[in-house]
Amino acid sequence: MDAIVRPLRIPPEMGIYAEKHDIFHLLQTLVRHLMVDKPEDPIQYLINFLKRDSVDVPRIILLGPPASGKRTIAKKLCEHTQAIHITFLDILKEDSDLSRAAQQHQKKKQKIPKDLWSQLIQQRLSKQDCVRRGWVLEAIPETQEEALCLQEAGVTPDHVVMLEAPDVVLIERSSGKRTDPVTGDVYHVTFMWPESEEVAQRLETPSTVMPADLIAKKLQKYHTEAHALKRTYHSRLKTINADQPHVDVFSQVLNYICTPRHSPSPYTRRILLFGPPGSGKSLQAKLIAQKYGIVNICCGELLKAVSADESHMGELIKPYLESEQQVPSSIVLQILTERLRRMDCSTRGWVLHGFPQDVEQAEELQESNFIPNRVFFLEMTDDIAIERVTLRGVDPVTGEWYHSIYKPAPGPEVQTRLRFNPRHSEAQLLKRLKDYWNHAANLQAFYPQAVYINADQDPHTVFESLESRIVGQLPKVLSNQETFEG
Amino acid sequence: MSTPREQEAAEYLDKHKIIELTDNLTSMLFFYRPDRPREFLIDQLEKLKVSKVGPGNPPCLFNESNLDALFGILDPSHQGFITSNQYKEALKTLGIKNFNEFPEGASDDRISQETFIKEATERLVGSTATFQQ
Repeated sequence: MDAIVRPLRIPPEMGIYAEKHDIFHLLQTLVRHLMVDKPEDPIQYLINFLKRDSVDVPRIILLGPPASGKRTIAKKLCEHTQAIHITFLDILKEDSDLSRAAQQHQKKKQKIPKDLWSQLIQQRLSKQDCVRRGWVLEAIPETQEEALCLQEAGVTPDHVVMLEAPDVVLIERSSGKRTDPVTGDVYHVTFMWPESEEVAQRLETPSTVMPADLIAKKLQKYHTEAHALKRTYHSRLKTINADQPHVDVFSQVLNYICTPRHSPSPYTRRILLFGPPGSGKSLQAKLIAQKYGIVNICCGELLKAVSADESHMGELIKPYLESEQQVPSSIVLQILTERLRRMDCSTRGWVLHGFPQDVEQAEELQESNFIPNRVFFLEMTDDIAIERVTLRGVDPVTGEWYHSIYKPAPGPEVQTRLRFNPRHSEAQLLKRLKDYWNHAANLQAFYPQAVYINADQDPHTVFESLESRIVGQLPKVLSNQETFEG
Repeated sequence: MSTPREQEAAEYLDKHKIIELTDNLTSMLFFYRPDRPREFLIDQLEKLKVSKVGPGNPPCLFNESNLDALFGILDPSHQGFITSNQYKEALKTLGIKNFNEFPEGASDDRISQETFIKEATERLVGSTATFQQ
């Protein structure tokens, strides 16, 4: 086109749509599968893949030393997520040529060759039920070699959980292990006795129980492999302490499974910061903007900047700013949306403070499609606010702000030079606080997803709490989650 | 230093034009913003598959009336021609990367509406036919 007079704008609806349907993650998964499988007809492959709707099924590997409770956790996970539970014994028992060949090797007490092993696993995982519902591999792979084989075959888990417990506990658990021959559930003499008498009577000691010294040897062998396995899967690994009641272990595992992996898909943050005057909104916004490259928009400063411009808008709002009146909402909204619509905000995200100040403004913001995905309320009591604000003074020579308590002026000459802004006087401040609290409750109701942070702390502590909510993705909800009695 | 697997992967991407395919699909998604993105994608892919074997053009974001409108913007006084520079910028804006820099009429710096539409359509079809030719 002719020279770019009207600069390129990305409508905010696109960003919101992308987030709502997780478009980038979808496309990335599609391309990833294409690259792993490399089908001859990618279009048909993609059609089939999309139809199966198996983008976000669980793909979990559960590892741990013997007697750490893998079977219990794996079964519970499968119940919860509808995934398929797979152990190597199950695969061997199948009725296929590959598994028969494997059984032959076992009979001769030979180690199953690598290729056969990985073919077996692949075959099982490519069956319809696994593809559609996801899988939980229990105690596969056992060595680093096997893990690398799986990687080459293109079997990649999304989450790898490694259970850990001190050896003493494991030996104790191993000697008291009992299994139910009918369901295959694992129980324990002391730690986990079955609830029904019927099951209790059926329990038998599994054939793999060994005396303590043999178990210790087995554990040692496991530890040598575990270290290497940890390294192989380190980007998706989480170690969980198995020396706790199994419900706790399970809830930790489930928590981990539900947090989506940090994906490289673009994720722009749109943050709103609310809080009474003096709560540190400007400071936190500045820190966030600096660290994450997000655009920092302070409503008051934006208005001042616009009025300093020789533009039509600037002329409009000058009289309001000069007479210290509130600029009408509609004008503020116009200026703000114009700023938010620019390329840097669409691509880097924005952190906004100083707007909206009441629910009507919040509604107008929502309607113009600038919907935040993180909302924070910085909470603080009024007396702290008064203390923080009224004691502020600026040095007219250097332009530095000082505070009588938190950041005192360096010397007596500076102290005498300090000027105090009438806006920071107690009377004005009380009025602003009253205004804020009038609207705060309604605003909080308008943004139910808001997070409340205690602002009465060191600024870096506050920043860290904010960061932890900003950086991670919001936890995903499993599609068939039932209420878990824990 | 790329391993054989990496090279295989890069070749595969090229051969089947995967990157262009994903670009097109993404643009369609963001433009139409369907409520059910997967069904929409399946639809578009089916259309693409059909256009591979039969007549008719593969699905594309721009149709002829869009191109007419674009020409109208570039040529508000209805002279019937646009300059070479305008032609190049317009094709770039449409997202066409390799186009013919010297179509009919480039030597006079007067590119007619017909030429513009013909070149643009050809290139758009080329870029959306993202399958092995």
